[in-house]
Amino acid sequence: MNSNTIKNMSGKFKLITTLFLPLGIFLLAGCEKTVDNIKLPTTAPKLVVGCFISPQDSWITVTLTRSNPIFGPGHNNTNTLPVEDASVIISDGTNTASIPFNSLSQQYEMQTSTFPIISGQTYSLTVSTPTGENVSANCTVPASIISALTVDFTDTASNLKKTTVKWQDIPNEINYYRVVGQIVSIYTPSPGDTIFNDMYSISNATAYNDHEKDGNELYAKLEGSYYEGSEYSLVAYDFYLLHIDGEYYNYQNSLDHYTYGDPFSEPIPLYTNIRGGLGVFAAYQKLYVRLP
Amino acid sequence: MKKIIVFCFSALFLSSFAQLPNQKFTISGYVNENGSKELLVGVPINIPEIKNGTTTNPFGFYSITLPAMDSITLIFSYIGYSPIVKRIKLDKDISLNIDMEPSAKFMKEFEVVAERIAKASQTTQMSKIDIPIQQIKDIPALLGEKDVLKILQLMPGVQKGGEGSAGFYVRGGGADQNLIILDDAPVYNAFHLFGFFSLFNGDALKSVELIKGGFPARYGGRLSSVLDMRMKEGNKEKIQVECGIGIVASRLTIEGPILKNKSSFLISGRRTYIDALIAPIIAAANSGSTGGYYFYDYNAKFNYDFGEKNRVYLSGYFGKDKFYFKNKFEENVFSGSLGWGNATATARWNHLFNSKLFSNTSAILSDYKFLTKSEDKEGQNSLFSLKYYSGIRDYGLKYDMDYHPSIKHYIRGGLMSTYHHFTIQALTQRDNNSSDGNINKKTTTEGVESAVYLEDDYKILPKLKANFGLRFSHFYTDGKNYFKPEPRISASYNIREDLAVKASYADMNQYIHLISNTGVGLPTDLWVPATKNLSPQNSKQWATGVAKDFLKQNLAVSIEGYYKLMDHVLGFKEGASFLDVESSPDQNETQSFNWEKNVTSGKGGSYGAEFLIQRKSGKLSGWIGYTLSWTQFQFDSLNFGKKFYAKYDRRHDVSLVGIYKVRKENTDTGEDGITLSGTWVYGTGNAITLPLSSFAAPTHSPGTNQNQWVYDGYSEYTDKNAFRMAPYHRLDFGIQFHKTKKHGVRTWELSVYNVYNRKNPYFYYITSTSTTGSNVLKQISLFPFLPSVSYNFKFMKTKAKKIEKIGYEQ
Repeated sequence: MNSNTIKNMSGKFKLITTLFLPLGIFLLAGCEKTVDNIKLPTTAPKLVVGCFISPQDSWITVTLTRSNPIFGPGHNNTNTLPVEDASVIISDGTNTASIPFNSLSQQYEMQTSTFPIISGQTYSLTVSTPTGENVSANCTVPASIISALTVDFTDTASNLKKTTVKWQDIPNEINYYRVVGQIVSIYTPSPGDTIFNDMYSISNATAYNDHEKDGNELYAKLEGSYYEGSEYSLVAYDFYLLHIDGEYYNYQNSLDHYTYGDPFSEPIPLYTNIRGGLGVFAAYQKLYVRLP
Repeated sequence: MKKIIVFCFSALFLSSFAQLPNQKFTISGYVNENGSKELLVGVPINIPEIKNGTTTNPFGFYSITLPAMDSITLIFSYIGYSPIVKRIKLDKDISLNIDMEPSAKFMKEFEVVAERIAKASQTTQMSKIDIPIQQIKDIPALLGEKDVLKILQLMPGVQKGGEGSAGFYVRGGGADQNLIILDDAPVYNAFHLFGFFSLFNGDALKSVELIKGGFPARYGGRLSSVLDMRMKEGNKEKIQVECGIGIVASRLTIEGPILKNKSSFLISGRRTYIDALIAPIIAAANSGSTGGYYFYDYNAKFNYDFGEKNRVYLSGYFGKDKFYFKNKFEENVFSGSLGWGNATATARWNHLFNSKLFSNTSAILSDYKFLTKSEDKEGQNSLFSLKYYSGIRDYGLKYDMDYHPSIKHYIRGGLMSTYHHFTIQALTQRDNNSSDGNINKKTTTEGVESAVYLEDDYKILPKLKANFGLRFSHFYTDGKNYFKPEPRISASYNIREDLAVKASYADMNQYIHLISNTGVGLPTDLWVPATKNLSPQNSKQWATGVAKDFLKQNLAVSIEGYYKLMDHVLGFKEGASFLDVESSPDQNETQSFNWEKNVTSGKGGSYGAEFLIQRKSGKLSGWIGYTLSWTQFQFDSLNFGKKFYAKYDRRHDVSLVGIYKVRKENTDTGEDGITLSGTWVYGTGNAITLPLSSFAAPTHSPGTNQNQWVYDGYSEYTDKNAFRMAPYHRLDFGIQFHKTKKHGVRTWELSVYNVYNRKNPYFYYITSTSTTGSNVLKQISLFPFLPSVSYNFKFMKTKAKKIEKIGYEQ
């Protein structure tokens, strides 16, 4: 090749770059439109039931709302309101009770003294409405309660408190647990003001299983902080060790991990055991410990 | 006429057999391209007398051992080259090197011979795609950037991912289940610019071959496909220069002899100039800021021929992508960058023990690194910097032998071992304002992957061929040994000379995994090994098919069905976010980053049928491909244990590719050429998950006065991947004008991507309309009608020269 050719060519290079490159970049810009060439997924509004029962609780509480369809005629623009006119029936197979709506708390409530929750017992919950909606679910109360837990505190000078909650797994069965911790502090200028600061699980999960750890000592690491300063004083730690059933575990686990989808990742759905609806009907046994 | 020839040859064959019943001789040698001495891979060599033949190996070597004969005919025929016919008296061992002439000047003769030789129906191997490099250069491409991986996506059984993405999915397998090798070195991230372009520069490539099933035992390490690419050695006779200028990048390739016919080199480079373009835009938009993006890649190869017995090759690839920005305000400077790059190096030594036994020894290095940096400088004294990287580095050794004891057997055996070093996460933080702000954290792990294999391509009967293979693979990591036998078999039975039925079975294991929570080929994707707790991925694939050559029409047709089971495939655990772990490293957490917690393993299955009708050469070439397939996964911890369709499960996939040479350029007569090309693709929409409704989720809060609450903002979804996006289809068109100039051939190419401006969905999102409050689904599409232009120049001697005619002797 001779040098003239190269000169000519480099001249052409320049021409091309100046002419075509901005054009290309301009054309690369994305475009947006409303989708009208496929059928969108539609659904009717569904009843959303929430009920967690325990032999250690004095109340049975049921929350009831409706889902709001994204697309289609079922969609409405109002906020979520409780469904007040439903018939909510709990049954242990032999005894049945209707749980009434409490307009003050906006929930369906009944005392366990009238309808006791018993260890190892299977319960069913049926919800029906005057418009013909009907959903139901079952759950079984874990047979035993965990009787003891120990807590290790990692000494940190700041208001960030770290703890490890330990307990003994029940051997030879599949067990699920949830650990909840709170730091209790008091606002000293007004000693009646007790502040509960939630502690958070370091692993992002609050529900645990004994998979591959059957019969072992299990632990959960929690940390949390409370308001700092001379006006606040730390008084106690509250720990709740819940021995939960599989429904509770699946639901809580999906709740802890819930994320919206985005174009590059998959959404995480919420678990439900409500036939024909959404939400959960679950059971647990509760150990509550307050440590100074 | 043909029958008479066959009869004569048969008679000759029989008589020669009668005369010398026991003596056998070997014909062996190398097949080169005339004019460049480039070794040719996979050249079929047919011997009509015995209706049998062989092909050249990846180093252009062939060997045929036959009983003595008075006369035998060897026909060397290869797409794009004029065939060569040699008649030989076989009464001693013969060394025969062949130089094949590129067929530009011999279209007619070539077509005549091509009619006579069946291809697809003659090999044992099934589920294999090889694309002539020239076709890659002829097919229109996005922004004019020719891309090997995007051409492969047009083949049945190979699906593309998102719009414009070079990532590919073979027979339901993940993008990480493709073994991409460039001169024996694995490439871990094959993409530039978030997957829109692949790393491979067609100018530097000699051959591209993709195997989808019926894997020969010499390949292993990934479940779904092997993409074997080989770089050109470089012209051994004269210096050759080729350059190209496109809208986004320019290319330059120089090759030539170092010592004529002994040693040659090739250097090829490509760089984008997107940064030069957007820099003024960024500067205009934000004073004091600069930033941009670029990628480049280089290929280099060197070889030395020590005579017939020994040859040495050194080859390497180096490429990098980088985004960068710098923001300056008075004395404060905030700057950062994000980049990734691959480097591979291979040293190979070919040794010929004797005319029947060929060996190759390779030493391989492959390195992939993702790096992000940021630096915040406030005034003279305050400096905060953060540097994060992850990557994988391989050191490998490989030894392969080819043994040709007789025409009936082609035996290959070998062993390989690779040391993988994984940098899962390396973090360095400097803060000169605070002593405990300095962090130096690194999580690494390693593994050794080894294998031995033996395979025999055995011609059991004249009509029945089989490739029996066995591979033993082994992986060692973290005190755990995995040892897996991998049986492989493929067989082919010729019902007629041009019609074969084929079947195969392959067992594959994969010891390294790609953790990706996006699936779009982002550089943050992380390679990790199998561990004590995470078993290697395994697949078993059965395939069967029919291959038919229509010799008169120069068409090859194949229909294949496959069934693939995958076990221990990796998924990203619902809710676990890999990016979060990276972007907010916990400073107080002393234990190393535990990626195993974020992944889960499950099962998968894929089955389908693929149809291909292909014409590799001629005035009109191209193919029609159709795939019907189903791919499902089942993970205990995903979708509540229920089966779901893969995102890229594609029920129907159609591609039409046509290349029409209106006029072929002729560098001898100075004639100009015109090539028209077009592609049309159609694919079922991706399977995605969409929300159905929003609701308030009940939560249990022990310790609060009410015990139970509801929280708004949750969504009910369709079953995982139960919703289909709109189907994808697109037409591309290109026209090339080739002109013979004094110093070579220049090509102007005008091409249009998405001719009828189909708005294909890239992703969907939901938004509410402000007027009615109702929701609508919106789609974002990436590439509308997109014209581009590119310029290519190949320097060569163009004055007419006398050509030795290599005829076809009858």
